[in-house]
Amino acid sequence: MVRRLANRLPEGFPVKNLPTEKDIPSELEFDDSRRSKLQILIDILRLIQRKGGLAKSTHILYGANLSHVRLTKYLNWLLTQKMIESADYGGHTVYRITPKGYEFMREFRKISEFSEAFGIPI
Amino acid sequence: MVSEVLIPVRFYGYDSIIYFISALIGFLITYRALKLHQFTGAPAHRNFYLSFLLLSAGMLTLSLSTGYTYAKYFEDHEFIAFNGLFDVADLGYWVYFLSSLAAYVMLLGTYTGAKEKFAIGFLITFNYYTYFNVILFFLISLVAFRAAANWLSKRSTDSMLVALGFVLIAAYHGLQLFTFASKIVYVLSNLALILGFLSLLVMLIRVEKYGTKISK
Repeated sequence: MVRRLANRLPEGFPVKNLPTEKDIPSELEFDDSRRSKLQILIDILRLIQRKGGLAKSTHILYGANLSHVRLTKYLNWLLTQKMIESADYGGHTVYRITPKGYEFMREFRKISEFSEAFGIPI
Repeated sequence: MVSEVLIPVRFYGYDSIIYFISALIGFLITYRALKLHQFTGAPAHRNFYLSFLLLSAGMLTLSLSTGYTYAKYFEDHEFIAFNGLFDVADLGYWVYFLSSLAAYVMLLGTYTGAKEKFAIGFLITFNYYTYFNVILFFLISLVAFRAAANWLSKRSTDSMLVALGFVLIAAYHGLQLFTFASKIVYVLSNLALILGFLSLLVMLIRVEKYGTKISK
């Protein structure tokens, strides 16, 4: 069922003007030396993708290794950036990735592979 | 003033084409490096894309200046003088050497995490060609060493292509030191240069393909 719902996502063209690290508000920062803000956002999007493009916040919470307050802030930011959208599914709020979110993930994959090839950390 | 360099007449113009292709590949890498900087906003990534921008711009200048010189040579059968002091190819080499010097220092700074340091001073000499190539060879060898260490730790094809690219560019500068010995050395050095940039191009194409693997 989850897979079928995810497959009904609207088709989109590549979205330009993707947000960058500096566009991410400082309130999303926290002491996590292992992951940058960008990396956390990408981790959330990947978690949703791994769940078939549709995931409940509890699933994201366990996978993203964030506190509930932090996760809510990140999800809200992703919602305002239109990289994910929320929907009611069986009384639960679920999140799905928008075409802009997929474009963001594609661009991040390219730059991470590029910087890894040169041995320059992101 | 670059009279020490022996270039086969049949190779005239081909080196300009090699510089031009290398510059184009360099600009493509600059574009991807700019996207990286735009994504992260990190100063180290700014230096990284600026270094490739400088290197590509210098190589393009060298391509145009040597191309113009060869065109004039084939037309008038003589090398033209610029301002009675340098010939046009010399001017192109100066721009290229200075821009690549700054580029390699910045590139090295990106790897070492140090702030970019521009060269403190240059020994202005009639035989600048050798001096610059020694400095550039030394700098790019350090970059190649870093890239090779990255490949040894990651063992990925992309990091191998980057290391190979830098090693071949270092070979270009190394061979340029011996262009006084034989004409074939000049040809070999240019082949090393184009192969180095082609290696970086293959890596770039592979990286661009990764993005297409993410789908709904």
